[in-house]
Amino acid sequence: MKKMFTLSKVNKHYACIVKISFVIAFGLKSFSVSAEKPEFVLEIKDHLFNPTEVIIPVNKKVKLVIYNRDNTPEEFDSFDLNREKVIFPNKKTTIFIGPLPKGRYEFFGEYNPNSARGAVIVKPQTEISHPLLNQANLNKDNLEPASSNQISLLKPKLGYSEVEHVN
Amino acid sequence: MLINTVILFLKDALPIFILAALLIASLKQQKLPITWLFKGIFSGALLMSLISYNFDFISQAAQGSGLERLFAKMYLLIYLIILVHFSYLIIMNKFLGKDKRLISSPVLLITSPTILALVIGLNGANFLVYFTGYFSQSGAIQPLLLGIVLGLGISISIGILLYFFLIFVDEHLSPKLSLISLILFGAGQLNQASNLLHQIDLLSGHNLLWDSNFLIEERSELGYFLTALFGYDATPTLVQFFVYITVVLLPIGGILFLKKQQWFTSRIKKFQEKAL
Repeated sequence: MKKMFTLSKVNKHYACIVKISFVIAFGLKSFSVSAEKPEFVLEIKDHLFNPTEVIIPVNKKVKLVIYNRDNTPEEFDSFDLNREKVIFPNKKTTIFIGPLPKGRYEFFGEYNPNSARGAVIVKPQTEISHPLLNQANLNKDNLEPASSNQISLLKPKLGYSEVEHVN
Repeated sequence: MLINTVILFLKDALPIFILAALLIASLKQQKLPITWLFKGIFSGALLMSLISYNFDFISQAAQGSGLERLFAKMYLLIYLIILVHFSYLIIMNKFLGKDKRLISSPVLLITSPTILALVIGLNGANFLVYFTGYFSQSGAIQPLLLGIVLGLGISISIGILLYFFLIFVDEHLSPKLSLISLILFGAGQLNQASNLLHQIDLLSGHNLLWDSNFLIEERSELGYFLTALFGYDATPTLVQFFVYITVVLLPIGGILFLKKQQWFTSRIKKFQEKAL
């Protein structure tokens, strides 16, 4: 009888632990949001970031696609953004940053920290003058102009359209 | 390149030497053959080579999030094994008293080298990518090797100093400091995992709670050391903070809770009587 009581107590505790685990697991899963994020492109060439400044909107999560065009690996690193990722030669990688308050967040190439340096500038949407024409803001979602005239106007300004076709 | 190699080596090797110091200190009182250390180093080197060799493939898997997913799982595994190691040592120390004959058990002989191997595999793979990537560059070999030697010297020194500090505190002040430090180290590893999950958008809620860079800068020497020791993060998010506090308090609270349970203490005593 005593043994049965002990077992039921153990089961009760076990059930409680399982319940808490489920709450934590589903709770964390619910944090994940799969909605499409604005995309920004960054390139590493000759151990330099191009563009050196990426302007993103305030309080918005964005996708940062980084291309490494060197023949050596590079590690995108940022203490301000809490991001760190190795990019193999001639490969691309994707990381998500934000939502962030207004400010300047520096990043660097960990393998070449003296040359590969840049920053993410977070500005309110209203302060970003022409997001479509801003070289630092290659936002794929906004790169679908209504008419072909707009394409011809935009193309010379956007220096990173070719980046889309690599890899 | 020399200074950069030293910094990179320190960043990746420091957690390994800190963990080794924590494990050796936590097992000092136990009659455990030191072979676990060599097994851990050997398995870690194998794991490191395996990850490094497949680094490119892994990083391109799962739509470019393969590396984060794998590393996050490995960090979680490290924490779970540390949890087993911690609970086992606390329970056995508590119920066996000064008789430590049971301590040299298969549980510790499995957990200790496994934790070490996983940490070597995770941290070593990053450095190996840098080393192999720049090894073939002209004039790079000398600063690379010199950087490794210097980094190794600094890491070993920090590891030894930490070991003697833990031993001193364990003997004179609190006998559980090395074990609690081990739990904090595990929580720090989980903190790295949550960072990686934020990075691939599997975990949301990036609103920063505070910025303590003005106090201890994360990129400073002390910042590196504290990050390796207990996962110091100058700019944590709410999710990270919640996860960290939970994983630190859960095992300590769990042990305190179990100690008060009659059924648990009687079961351990029976087990002890049988074994002895």
